[in-house]
Amino acid sequence: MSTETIEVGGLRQRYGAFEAVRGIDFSVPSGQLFALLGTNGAGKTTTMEVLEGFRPAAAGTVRLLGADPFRDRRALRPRVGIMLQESGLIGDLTVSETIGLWRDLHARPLSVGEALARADLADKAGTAVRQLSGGQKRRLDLALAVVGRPEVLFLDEPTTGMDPEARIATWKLIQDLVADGTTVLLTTHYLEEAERLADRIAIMHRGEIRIAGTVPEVVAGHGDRIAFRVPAHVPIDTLPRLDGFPPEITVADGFPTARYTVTGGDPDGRAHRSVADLLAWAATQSVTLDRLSVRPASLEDVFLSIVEDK
Amino acid sequence: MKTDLAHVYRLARLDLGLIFRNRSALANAVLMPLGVAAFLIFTAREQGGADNLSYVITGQIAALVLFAPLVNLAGFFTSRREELVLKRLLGGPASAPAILGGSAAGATVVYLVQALAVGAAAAALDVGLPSNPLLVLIAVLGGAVVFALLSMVISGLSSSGELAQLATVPVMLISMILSPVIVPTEAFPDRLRQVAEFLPLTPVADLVRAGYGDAFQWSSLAVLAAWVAVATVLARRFFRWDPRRG
Repeated sequence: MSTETIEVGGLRQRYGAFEAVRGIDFSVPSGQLFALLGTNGAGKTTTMEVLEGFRPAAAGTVRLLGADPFRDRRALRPRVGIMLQESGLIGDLTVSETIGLWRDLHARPLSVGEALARADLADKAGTAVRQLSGGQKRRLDLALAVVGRPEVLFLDEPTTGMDPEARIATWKLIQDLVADGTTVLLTTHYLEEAERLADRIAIMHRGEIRIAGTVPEVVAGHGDRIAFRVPAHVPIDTLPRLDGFPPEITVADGFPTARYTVTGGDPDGRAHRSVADLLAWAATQSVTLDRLSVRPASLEDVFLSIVEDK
Repeated sequence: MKTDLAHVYRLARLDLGLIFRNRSALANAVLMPLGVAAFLIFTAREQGGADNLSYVITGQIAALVLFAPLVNLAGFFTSRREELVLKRLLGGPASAPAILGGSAAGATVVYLVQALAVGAAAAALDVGLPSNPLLVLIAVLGGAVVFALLSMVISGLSSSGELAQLATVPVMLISMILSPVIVPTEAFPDRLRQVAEFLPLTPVADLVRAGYGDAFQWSSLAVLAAWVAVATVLARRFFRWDPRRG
C-alpha cells in the first residue's frame, strides 16, 4: 500500500490552446511539506486546483489520499484544508462569525477560540472582515483552512501580503501542523519560505517541473559563485576566464561587479582551484579584488537560472 | 444527504442573516417588492370589483417570485462568484448543490414570507383564504425553484452583480406584462396568449389561483415541471464557479 498522500503522474492541463501544465510527476509522503516554486504562469496554481478537485486532470493520474480528487471530492473535502491564492471571504461577517460558519460545516472542528489563536486573530474576533488588512485576511483564510483539522493542507501563496512578524508566526503554525502529521502542499514566491519549511521542493517553469528534491539536492550541481568588484582601471575584457568561462558583469552600488559561476570538473575543490587561479591572476596583474566573495549556489541562483532559461 | 441538508440550513441561515444586516439588501429583497405589491393591490381596490382585487392579489403572490429568487439571487450569486466567495465555499466541506441550495433556500424563505404577507392582506381585504393551500405551496415552491435556477443562468452570463440584476429586468418585464399577474391573458391576441401560457410565471399564477378556488388544470403543473427541467439543464450549462474577470 502506498504511503504517498499525494501522487501526480504525467499530469497535463490546458486552457484552450495554452498548455498550462505539461506532464509533471511528483509525490508527497504523509506528514511532509512539499513546495511548488515558480514564476506567475508556471502552472503551480493549476496543479493545485487539480489536486484540490476544482477541475479534472486533462491527462495523467492524480491521487489524493488514495482517491481521485475531482471524482471523489465530496468524500475528500472534509479531510482537506484549502487556502486559495485570493481570500474569497464575506466582508459583512465578523472574524469569529466567519470561523463559526466554517466550523458549522465541519464534523469535528477546532473551537472558534483555538482557530483564532492559531491565526493570531483573537484581538480581531469582533472585527468585520472587510475592515481587516490584507495580511489579516490571509491569516483568517489560513484559520479557515485548518479549522476542520485537515489531513492534507493546500496553501497557495499563504504569506503574500503578511508583515514579517505575521509571516514568521504563520511559518511556525505550518511547522506545527506538519509536526502533527498534516501533509502540506505549498506554493510560494518566497524562496526563503520554501527553504525554511519544505521537506522537498519542485521548481516549475512553463508548465514543467525543471528540478525537484530536497533543497541541498536541488542546489547541488549548480556550482559555486565567485564575485568581486572590478577596479576602475581594469578593462573588462582583460578579466580572466575561470573554469573556462568569462565573468558576467553586473552593476552593484554603481560599481561593475564580476560574477563567475564555477561548475567545472573537480567537484570537491573547484571553487578552491578557481579562487587560486583568480588570486594568481590578481597577483600578476597587481589588481586588488575588492569585495571578493565565494559561496555555494543558493536556491535563488538555481531558481533564477531556471526561470531565465540559462 | 443529512450533511447536505445541514449545510443547506446553515448557509440559508447565513444569507438570511446577511439580508437583515444590510439595509440596502433588506430594502431591495424584502421591502420594495412588498411595496410594489401593496401599490398594485391598493390600485385594484380603488378601481373597484372584488374579482379584480382577487385577481391582482393572487397574481402578486405569484409575481413576488421575481424578486428574491430571481433578481436578488442573480446579483448575489454573481457578486459572490466574482469575489471568490463561491469558490472558497466550494473548497470547503459543503457540496456544490448544498452551497447553491443554501442561497436558494434563503431566497425562498424571503419569498414565502412575502407571499404569506400578501395572503394575510387577501384575508384582511375579504378575498379570503386559499381553499387548497397545498396548491398555493406547490406554486410558490415550484416557482422559487424555477426562478432560482434561472438566476443561476443569468449569473453565469453576467460579469458583475449589478449587470446580473440588470439582466433580470427583461425577464421581469416580460413576465409581469405577459403572464397573468396583472392583466388576464384573455386580453391578448391569440398568438400572444399562446406564448404567455408557456412563460415560467404563468403556471405559478395559475396554480396560486387554483389554490384560491379557480379550476385546477394539470397543464399548469406540467408547464411548471417542464420549466424546472429546462432551467436545470440551462443552469448546469451556464452557471460558473470561477470569476469571469481575468
